[in-house]
Amino acid sequence: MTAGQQAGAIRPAASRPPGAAPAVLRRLARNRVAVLLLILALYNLVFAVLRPASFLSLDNYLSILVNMSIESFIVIGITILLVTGNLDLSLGANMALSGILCGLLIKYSHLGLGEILAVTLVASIAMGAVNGYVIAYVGVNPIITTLATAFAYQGVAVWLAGPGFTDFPDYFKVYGQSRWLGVQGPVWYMLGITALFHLLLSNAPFFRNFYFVGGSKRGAAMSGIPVARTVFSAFVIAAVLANLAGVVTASRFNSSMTSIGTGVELRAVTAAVIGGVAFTGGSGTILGAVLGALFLAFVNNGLILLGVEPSWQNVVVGIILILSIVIDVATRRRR
Amino acid sequence: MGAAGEPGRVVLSARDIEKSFPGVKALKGVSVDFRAGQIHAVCGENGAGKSTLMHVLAGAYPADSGTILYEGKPITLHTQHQANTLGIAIVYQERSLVPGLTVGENIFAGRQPRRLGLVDWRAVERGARQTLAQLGLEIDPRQLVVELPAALQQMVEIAKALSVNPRVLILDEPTATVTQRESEVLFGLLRRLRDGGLAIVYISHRLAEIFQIADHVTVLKDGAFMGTEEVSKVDEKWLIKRMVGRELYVTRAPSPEAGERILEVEGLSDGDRFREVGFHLRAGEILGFSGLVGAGRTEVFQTLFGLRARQAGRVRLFGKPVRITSPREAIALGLGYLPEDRKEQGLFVEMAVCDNIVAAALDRCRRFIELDRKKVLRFSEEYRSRLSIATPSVEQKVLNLSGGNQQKVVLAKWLLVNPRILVVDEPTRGVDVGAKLEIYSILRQLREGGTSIVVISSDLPEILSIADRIYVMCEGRIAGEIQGSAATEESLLSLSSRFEPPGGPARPAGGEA
Repeated sequence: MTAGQQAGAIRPAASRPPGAAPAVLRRLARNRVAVLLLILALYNLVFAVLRPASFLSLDNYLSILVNMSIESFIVIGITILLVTGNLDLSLGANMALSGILCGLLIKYSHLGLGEILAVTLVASIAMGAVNGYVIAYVGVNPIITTLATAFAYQGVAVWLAGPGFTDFPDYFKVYGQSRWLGVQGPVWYMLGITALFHLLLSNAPFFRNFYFVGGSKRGAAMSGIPVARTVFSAFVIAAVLANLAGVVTASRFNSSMTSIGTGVELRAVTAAVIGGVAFTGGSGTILGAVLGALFLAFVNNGLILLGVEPSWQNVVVGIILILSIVIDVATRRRR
Repeated sequence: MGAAGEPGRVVLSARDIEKSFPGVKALKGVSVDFRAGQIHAVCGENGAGKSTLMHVLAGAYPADSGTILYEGKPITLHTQHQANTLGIAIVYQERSLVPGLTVGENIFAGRQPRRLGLVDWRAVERGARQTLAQLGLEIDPRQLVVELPAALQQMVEIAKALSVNPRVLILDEPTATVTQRESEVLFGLLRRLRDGGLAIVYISHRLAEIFQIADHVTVLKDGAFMGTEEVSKVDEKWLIKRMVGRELYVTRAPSPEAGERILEVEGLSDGDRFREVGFHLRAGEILGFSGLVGAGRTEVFQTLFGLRARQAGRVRLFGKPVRITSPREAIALGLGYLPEDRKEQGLFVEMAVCDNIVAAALDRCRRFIELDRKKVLRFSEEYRSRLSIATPSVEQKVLNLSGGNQQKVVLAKWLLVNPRILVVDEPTRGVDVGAKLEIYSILRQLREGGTSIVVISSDLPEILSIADRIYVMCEGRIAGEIQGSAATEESLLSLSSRFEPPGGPARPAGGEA
């Protein structure tokens, strides 16, 4: 018997399952941060030529940054959830409700600002905890759960808001409107929070557990990682970031409205996926995701500078999302 | 039965372990000792209870009764992590690694070395490098798992299991997903680990491997303990004798006169799972395809049905050469394929029984462009009574039917298409004995109606009960052909392990290989 004289050959390391992308693409996918920086540099070059006057100004760059700053908190929250293999479609509603609650208390209560912020934070944590409990402990599908809670949270926000709130006192507005070294507050918050969460998600053991849970639930459980508790925590952390986004929005625009968080989750998912966060869980970085958001901010800015109608901007974002998911699937396909 | 007086301290023992699942007694009082410095194979046919025993030993689920002794002391396991911390590590067939993380981090999952509260990456790398070096593996701990070939991923899996310094390592069919040469590397590693004093439990149904690697072997059959012996004292015949002997489901019917060859396959290869496969099917026969799980049987027929790409080979259907590239073509040519996994591939479980029955024959239930509900109901009522599908109504969701009745719905779907050749892949998996008999009688009726049938089955009594002629596949090749009336479980089993991984000592095969 000439058992396995050819089938027994060890497959070369470069071999890949049928349908998967070649090694070059995979390596690119791995170093998404470098790729994004490259794309951003090219983009800047192109616009520097196309629209030198309007694009190449400090004001334009600052406005790009401040426009993306608040949604970047959501991007970070979504990234953490995607890494654990989850998604939260109620973050926009949470953000809206946080802003409304904050505005309501500022206008109609005698609480100090610290107490007000604490109350809204507790409310947001409760919202995240409901999501986390139902998903991690009861085991309901995250999209269904958060679609439902988004409805409920949004409903509460509308009920509380009435016509909405505006004309906030200076001691509150200062957080969203002041500048330091010529740069708006929210941009600094974005830089700080991005750095903090990038560090945590890259290096803190507790945050690394998100990757194990998202990559292989059973593997994580066998390694003694408390799977349900980890998923629960991810929802609470995302809720805290949504709270921050809601409160800073209220401060920056001097008003709370129920519509502020509409569609933010999908834009955040787009940014995260462009930034190399796997839709299937278990991989991705905060830096990549925020760079993905930066890329989208540049694209939006570019479309405005080119005079493209606002409605077409959404079309472009949608196309970019589909493209990035297709690339994601093609580069990550396994067996 | 014990192995008294042999070198090697008993590390882990199972005593009278019993475990039942609804409708099945999976383990009927199994007792085994696993010793340090030895590789102990546990073998048996599909459904013999190997996996259940392993899960119980690893704490995945508790036994109904019996004791597990670890280092002489009785232990109660609630979680796998608990077994892990005690010193019992397990490697499943499916990967537990996170593909997007590095090898090093995967090895230290959940217990990363820390410095100032953060992961100490240098310590991770150093520790992983050390673990890998101890196993003689040249893998860079900084590499992502996704970048490694399957066999190396498995090595990492083993390295991860070993990094907690267990005394017992349980491996579930470790060679199922790797090539033959790769399994040689694995065996080298296992021998080194054994020589280092580890007790290794090696679950396998590949007989050749047992002679290559194991020191002791325990045989299970239908959940019952059939004996433990030193491998050097037994041969394949001994093993097979203990693995087989289950009752036939039905008495064999005499094979009809064989007709002309309606399907002829020559030199078929897909470049991956099977090669040089040649066989023929005659009109009016039930042809059996036997072999171990993973032998390539399903892949051969998926290729014939246009679901997989073929690399080489010629196929003649009803005397004409054909080249089928899609299931649609295959159906048009008179082929039907009833897949192995009926929930995934054969049924729309959320839809009604009648909708499933007509799913592949919508053209016959049409009035102009719209679906004729009356025809749908008429066809499905007809097949419900013909196959005696037990459902209160054909409007019932398939989801609510028992496994056997679901399988009958899939059969009905193909009967309505009326293929000239029907391939059924594991037609009675997860089906109770009563429904099995009914399915066999449906297959026989079909044959009488002029359909030729191929039955792919890992269930030996099943193949022996219904097949007129049997091909046995092993490691992606046809290992032999036997007339149904002449076949025995022994002969099928020994053909199933006819081709050995290279480097293994050739054992005299029992039966008429």
